[in-house]
Amino acid sequence: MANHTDISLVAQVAVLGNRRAFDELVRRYQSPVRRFFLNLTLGDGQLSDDLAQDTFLKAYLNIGKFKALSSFQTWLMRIAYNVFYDYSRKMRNEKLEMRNVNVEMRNDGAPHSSFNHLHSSFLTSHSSFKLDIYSALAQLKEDERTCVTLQLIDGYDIAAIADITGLKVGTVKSHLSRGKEKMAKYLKENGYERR
Amino acid sequence: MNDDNDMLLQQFFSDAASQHIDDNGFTEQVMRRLPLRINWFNRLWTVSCIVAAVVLFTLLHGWELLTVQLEVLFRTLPTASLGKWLMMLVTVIGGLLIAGASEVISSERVRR
Repeated sequence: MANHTDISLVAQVAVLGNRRAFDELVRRYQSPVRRFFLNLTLGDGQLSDDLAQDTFLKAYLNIGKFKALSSFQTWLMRIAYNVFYDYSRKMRNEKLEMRNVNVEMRNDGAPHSSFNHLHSSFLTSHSSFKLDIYSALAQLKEDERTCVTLQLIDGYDIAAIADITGLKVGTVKSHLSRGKEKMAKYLKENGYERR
Repeated sequence: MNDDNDMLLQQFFSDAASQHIDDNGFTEQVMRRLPLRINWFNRLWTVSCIVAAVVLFTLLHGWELLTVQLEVLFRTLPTASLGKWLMMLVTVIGGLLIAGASEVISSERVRR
């Protein structure tokens, strides 16, 4: 199985329902998918694994829709992005509901990011190196963070990022530009100089 | 975005870019969550094909064709270079049986 190409494994899953072939695909791509979620959730390992599992589950259920127009990894990352987008939207709605409840109760509170609850967990459970990365990524808006991590950590070019996120190339470029500018400013302000 | 900033960011993210996350049982967890839907669909498809084959065999009097072919085969067997066609038939059937059996075994093993 380890020698089979992605296309061959996908065909075995789609046509024969071969679970061993899907097992091999998960082993091959668990690392980039989980790393992608770790960066987007600012280091929440448990949440990342849950989202990654949902991603592979959706990939399995929709594997017949893979047309090989892009690589299997790009297709998988598109699903991962959609899973994160859905999760993020759900969190925003919950936050909005909470805020409405708070207004009704006339109970003022400072606005907070939907990932604030994640910060506490990653702050206590990760090394300073990861803390630096996630602290820096926390400066960005979600779309900016997605585009920046896809380019600088996962190594995708602008066209592939547009393909994964469904955003226009121009929009990806402006997210990248703004995101990188914010990151560079943050790093310089915090004394991170290029050696 | 100037080159200095680009270099700074590339250096900052270089360790993260090469980070590999160990599996640590993740794949097993995913495989346990997979539904059996595709297997059921395949089984349904297999049964449908078998039923269709039996119906066509019956409607088209397949046994007559089979009888004629077997008769021709056995009558010409002594004169033909033995087993060219027979060997081909046995090889194909054997290959299909081995491939099918290994697929069934591997699927069952992974499911367990």
